[in-house]
Amino acid sequence: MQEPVLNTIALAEIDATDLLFSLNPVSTDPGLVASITAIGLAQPLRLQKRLDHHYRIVSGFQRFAAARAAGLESLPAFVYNSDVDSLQLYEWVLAEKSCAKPLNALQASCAITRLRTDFSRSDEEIIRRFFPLMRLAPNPRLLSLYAPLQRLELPLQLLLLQDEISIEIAAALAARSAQEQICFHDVMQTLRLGKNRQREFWLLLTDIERLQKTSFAQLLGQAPLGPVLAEPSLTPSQKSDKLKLALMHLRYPAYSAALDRYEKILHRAKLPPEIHLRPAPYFASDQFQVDFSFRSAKELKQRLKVLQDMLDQGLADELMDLV
Amino acid sequence: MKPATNYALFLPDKIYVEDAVRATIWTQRILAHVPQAVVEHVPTLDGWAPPPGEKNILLAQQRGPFLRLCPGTTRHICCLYHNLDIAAGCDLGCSYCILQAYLNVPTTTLYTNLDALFAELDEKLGRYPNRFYRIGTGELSDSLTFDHFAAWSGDLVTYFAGQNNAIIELKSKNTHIDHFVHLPHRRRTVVSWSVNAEAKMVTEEPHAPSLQERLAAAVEVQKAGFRLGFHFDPMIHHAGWEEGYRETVDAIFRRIDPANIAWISLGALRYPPVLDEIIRENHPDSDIVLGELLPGIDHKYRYFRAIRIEMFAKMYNWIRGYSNDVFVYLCMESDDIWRRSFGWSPRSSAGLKKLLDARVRG
Repeated sequence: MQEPVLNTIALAEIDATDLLFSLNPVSTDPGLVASITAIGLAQPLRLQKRLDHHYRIVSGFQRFAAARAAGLESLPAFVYNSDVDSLQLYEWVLAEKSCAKPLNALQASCAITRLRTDFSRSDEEIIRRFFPLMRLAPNPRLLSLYAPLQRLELPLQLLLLQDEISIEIAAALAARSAQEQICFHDVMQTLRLGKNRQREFWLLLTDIERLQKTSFAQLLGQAPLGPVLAEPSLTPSQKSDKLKLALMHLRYPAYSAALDRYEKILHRAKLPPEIHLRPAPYFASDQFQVDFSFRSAKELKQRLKVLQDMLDQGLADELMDLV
Repeated sequence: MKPATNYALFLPDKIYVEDAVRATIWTQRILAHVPQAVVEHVPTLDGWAPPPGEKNILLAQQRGPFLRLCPGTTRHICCLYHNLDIAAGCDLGCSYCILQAYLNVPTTTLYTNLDALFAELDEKLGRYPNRFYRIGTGELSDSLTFDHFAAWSGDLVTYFAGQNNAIIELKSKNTHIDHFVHLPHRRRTVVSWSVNAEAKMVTEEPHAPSLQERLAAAVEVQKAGFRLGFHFDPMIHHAGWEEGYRETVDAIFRRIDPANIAWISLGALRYPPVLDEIIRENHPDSDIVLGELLPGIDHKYRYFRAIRIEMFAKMYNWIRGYSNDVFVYLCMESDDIWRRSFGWSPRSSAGLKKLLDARVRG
């Protein structure tokens, strides 16, 4: 590739709307503006001259925005000719951006989209040739996870950059409408869900929407889920527990019905706190476990009497009927 | 009109041949049966990984034992079956298939050092002449799905016809019976078909032959005097499951004489947690993951037990409506599920083995 030549270029000749080589949303960093105002632009931009004699930015989008905000009229830049292959320049950008650390998920998503659309590269080539440049493992699964992230709504992009949402959930959400994305974002924020709980709720909601042939946004807006989310007296943790219970009822109706019956039997048995009765998790076997503590013969008699009463009321048979 | 599946005969585009098995008659036979396939020799499999390609197969040397006792699952009654790992992988791509999570071979692999397989069987069966072995090739693959070009079934049927303390079960969803149906077998081969409710065959087994095609093959095999088996596994709980499974039971007994059925097994959909994600990823349109599947005592996802019991009990009654003698068993269920579903239980894995052995020993 041709070595770029250091030149001084007028800002007016640089097309700031040409984002071919951009990997990040462009913003103006006040610290960078102050620094440029004080000492000028310490590191030249890299530009490519276009056939229309304007320049596109290859690297230095943030510096350009800051230089413009600082009132500079020209700036130093290494300039590539228009005949330099853009794809080669893009490779250089990817390698340069990821030299200190791998691209973040949104940068990777932007790069994949650009390579697919502007450079017409196949997925196979992106994985084989460009993923190593981005310091990503050449794994097709990563491509399918990263590619849709560009479509994430801004609040979710921010959560992703702050590592507060898993890439798997983010990728799944990116395939949904903006309304659904914001809806799930609001649930995550209201319930303060960590990544594991996000996944748990996402699976429950999306399974239920398939079972009921509806959308999860609709589900969350109506009873029994909506009122739980809207209840002001509940803490996030209480809301999470109640919402999960409601979701389990919708997702696993037979199991939940058995659980309800079990709770009623327990209630009727009036077991003191010293006696613990437990079924197998998810009633996976016909086994129940009872344990109790006592500190005297009298207490032991009391415990045994409670259990005998359970038997006399037929509650043990009812438990067996559950499983 | 019954729905049809999209079954297409599998023929490999490319065959990789490990040098160690290049000269075996089983390799040569496969290559002769698929002359249009591109053949590439692989000096060693150490570190070898083929480029992706769905219609590639590898002919390789089985380095471990061919014969393995089924590992069973914790606190469940297992039939103590022996698996004969003659291949690893399958072309049928069923949504629920455990092989999606289980195999660690680089591509669909057919082992073609069958001289070692028969030597191992000679040694094992000869060493314990008083033990009875039920052996099957349908664990890591489908027993017949590659048989139209591998033609192993003939070797196996002939070998087991000479054994007194073992039978081979060829368990399949496919219909490739031409290489063995005419052979003498001494009823030492059980040919069995995995079947399902027809609606689920269409959605979850779309690349396998239809029920009617499987039963047509079963009829041919029956005519040749073989014992038959049917495996309703995995049973899938879905809207209309009762009609669906009942119709499949009806279809079997309309065409197959119960006296020729060695066994019918029932097993409900179950899988390790890792497979849940794989099914969602590989088969996004499949709704089998939407069942009431909950972690069981062996940590696999299984239908809530009341659902399983209802499915098994109804199936048992429908089958009993046709025959009191056909042996029906549950695959990988606990003693209490047996009792609640069938009203009786073999009590232990050894008890079940004894009952199954008795079906085919004579």
